Amino acid sequence: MSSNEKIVRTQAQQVGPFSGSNNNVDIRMNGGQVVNMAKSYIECELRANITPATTDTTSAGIYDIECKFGTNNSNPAFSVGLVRNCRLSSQNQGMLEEVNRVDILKTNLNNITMSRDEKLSLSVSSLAQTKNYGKQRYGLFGDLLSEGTDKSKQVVPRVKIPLSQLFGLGEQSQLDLNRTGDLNFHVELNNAILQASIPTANFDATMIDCQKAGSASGVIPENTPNLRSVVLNIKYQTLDQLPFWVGQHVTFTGTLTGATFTTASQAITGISRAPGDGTVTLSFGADIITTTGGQSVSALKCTPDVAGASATISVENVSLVSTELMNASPSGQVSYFTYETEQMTVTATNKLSQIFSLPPDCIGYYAMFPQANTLTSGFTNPKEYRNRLDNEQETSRPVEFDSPLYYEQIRRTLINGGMRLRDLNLYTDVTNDPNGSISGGGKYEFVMNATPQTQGNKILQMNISATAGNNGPASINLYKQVVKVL
Amino acid sequence: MSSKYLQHRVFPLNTASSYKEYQNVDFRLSFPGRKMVANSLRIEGRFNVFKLTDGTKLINGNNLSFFDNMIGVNALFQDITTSTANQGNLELLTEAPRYCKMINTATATENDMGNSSNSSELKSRNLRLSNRIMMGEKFDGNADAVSPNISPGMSFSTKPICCINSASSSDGGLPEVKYGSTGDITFSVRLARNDAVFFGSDVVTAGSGKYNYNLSELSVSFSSVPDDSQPQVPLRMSTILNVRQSCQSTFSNISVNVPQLSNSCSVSFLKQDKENSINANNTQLDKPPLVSNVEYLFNDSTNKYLTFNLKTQEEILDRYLQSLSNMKVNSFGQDKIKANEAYGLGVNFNEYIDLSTNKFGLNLTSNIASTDPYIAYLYFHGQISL
Repeated sequence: MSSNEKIVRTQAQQVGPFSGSNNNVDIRMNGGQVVNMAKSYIECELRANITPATTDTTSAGIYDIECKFGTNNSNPAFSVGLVRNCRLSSQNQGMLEEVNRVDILKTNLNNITMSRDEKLSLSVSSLAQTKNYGKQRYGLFGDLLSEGTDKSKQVVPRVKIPLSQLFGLGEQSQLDLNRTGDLNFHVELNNAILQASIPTANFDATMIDCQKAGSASGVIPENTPNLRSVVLNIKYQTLDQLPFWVGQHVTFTGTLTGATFTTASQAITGISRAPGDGTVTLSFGADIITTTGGQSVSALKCTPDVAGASATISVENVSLVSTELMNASPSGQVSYFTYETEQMTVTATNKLSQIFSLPPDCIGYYAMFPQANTLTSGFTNPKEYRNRLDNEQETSRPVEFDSPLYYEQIRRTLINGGMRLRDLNLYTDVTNDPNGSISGGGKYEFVMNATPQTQGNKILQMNISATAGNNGPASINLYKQVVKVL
Repeated sequence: MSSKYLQHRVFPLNTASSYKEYQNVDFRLSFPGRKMVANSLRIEGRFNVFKLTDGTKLINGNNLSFFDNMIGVNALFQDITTSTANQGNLELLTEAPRYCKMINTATATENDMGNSSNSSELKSRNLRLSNRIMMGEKFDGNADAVSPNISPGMSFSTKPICCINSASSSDGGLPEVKYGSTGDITFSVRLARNDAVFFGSDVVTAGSGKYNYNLSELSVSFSSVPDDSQPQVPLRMSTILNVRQSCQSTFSNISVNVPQLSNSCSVSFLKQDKENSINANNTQLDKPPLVSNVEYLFNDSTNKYLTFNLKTQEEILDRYLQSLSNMKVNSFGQDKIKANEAYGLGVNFNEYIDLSTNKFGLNLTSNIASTDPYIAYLYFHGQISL
């Protein structure tokens, strides 16, 4: 028996762990085969290096780790953000594609070309992390168990970056490497901006209220010896909103009559749910407290203990997982889109005017505005823009940001570039929190338009205005979408 | 005169006013001189839920009893059989509710369950809404004294997963089944036991508070067009075949032959003590504890297709989702995975392989203990031609 496909993993030529300075990765895909590029991807093995909570002296705790790019963790963290620049060359044709700052380009395009549900659905295997309706957000670095006595464990996830996110040729379902010879993938990792955080108790306060089993809410009665388990006040029919897991390091607070309530933090050793009424019991390996006559505890709370805990993320290993088509016949000419990037730092002014040259076969441009320590394109105080292409006005009037004409410009540019506009909510927190404000977080700003495909260069004059008395963007990345034929 | 487009309604052969757990319900679809429009078969009726054996319906206070909101009324059809007079048995799908759950969680989000196509199948966006459905067609907030015992059960129309509903025509046209090529089509369902349908803190299995259901006004509908006397255009129909295996140790080896061509295999798990228990959702997609290695074998070899083992949850679930669909949406949030609400193994072969002569194997390394075994449900996606 044989399949008509073969899935193969190829290691990068460099050995990890990769750092901010050691961040270049080269992978070679051997020629002489036909490859489904659309099903192939680069895989990054990430490791979270954890400093446990101050009270977790034995490092017994298992921690939930969130990923973020820079200071702003409100975006869904698309895995393409792991790659800063990328290049694809072949043995026979030389350079095929080179996209600088692909992280900014694709992070921002993903936000508007993927529907809200598509973005939420990335939580299964990519860095995209979103909160659930219990306001909790879980990362990929823990195999967390909500019930039983098996201890959860920290894991080393492999994050998939589809080639289609990096290269135009990455969208081809059949690429004949007999014509190209070996393909060389070069990616520059974005280690400098990749950060981790350990979320604090970011859910409803009542979720941590607990008690001794059979007692009144929040109470440990007097003469309770060697208490090693508590039950939560909230009852659960399913456990998807339970903010605890086996192995989690927690601490207790409460009010002890006649004395100060103190107890050592410790890890949860077991979680069970009583189906009769949905009561959840947390068990521990050591005593929580022993109360004597006249002593009782009220307002008991079990809180995840992450005080002093921190984490960093390193890229341990990079590989290419390719899908070889075993019985495919060699294909002919291939047409594809790619991007050329022009990066520019300008003096921020109220009215910015800048000239760019668009190359032959350019069918659209996407101006994005990089900001410090985040991948979101935007700038403060945007008002309007009006561009000229080869000395002709592109629009009959200035395009005000967030106006219907602005949205129309985005829509037609995407359609012309082979994409679809699926999400027009341009605030970053929307996907982040299903309960959150629809206008929370940062704001995306773009300037984009479709252009006619011509054989010669085109001159683009970009005129951007900020609101009165304010300055516009200080840096621009102009991505020029061009058609190429292989 | 032969009408151009007809909507047929077929009642069960074993006529009764209502049907309960364990019952087999058979429908004979007869459409002489016409062609059945494939993918148009629907089961229709009313879903009546009772708390007492004497037929008392649920009251507003019974708000901690549920049925799976992601599959709706499909939870009731445990086994689905399709056969024809001329070809014999076409498909026997066992454990159909679980397969429905796997499909819906791999191709849709909870928000999608509010769409009209899903609402008509009594799917809903969360368990609380599924509880309201169980109370029947009464307005939310109605005092119990007004009508809890006379309000009718919720009516439904569902498109069951069966080969007749997953057909495509080889000429790219509308898939149609000529009566002359099949004769009467027999469509049968076996109704699931009560304990496999309901779960929740309010649900009890015995005594005066026993939860039970019945289906009334039950029928099957399908569409047909006049036979144009042309030969039957070859049809491809997707079939599903289920195999159950038990996993009882940290290293589980599953090796099976199945009597059909298959192009993918999808596997889900349930802790054995949860099966048919009101204490848990019978269609829960349990995650075996601490899975550390998954290996797919073809004729005991790993180097034919997927040439490496899967060691991380991301790659395991990615392959599972691909085995079910190419959709970009799913319900596999990390919170659902953590809570045993979303998990599975699977692999898409990308071609039809004869697994009756080629053995398919699955090696799973996890923390499954012999004292706490899991059931593995393997679904093989096959194809038949008509």
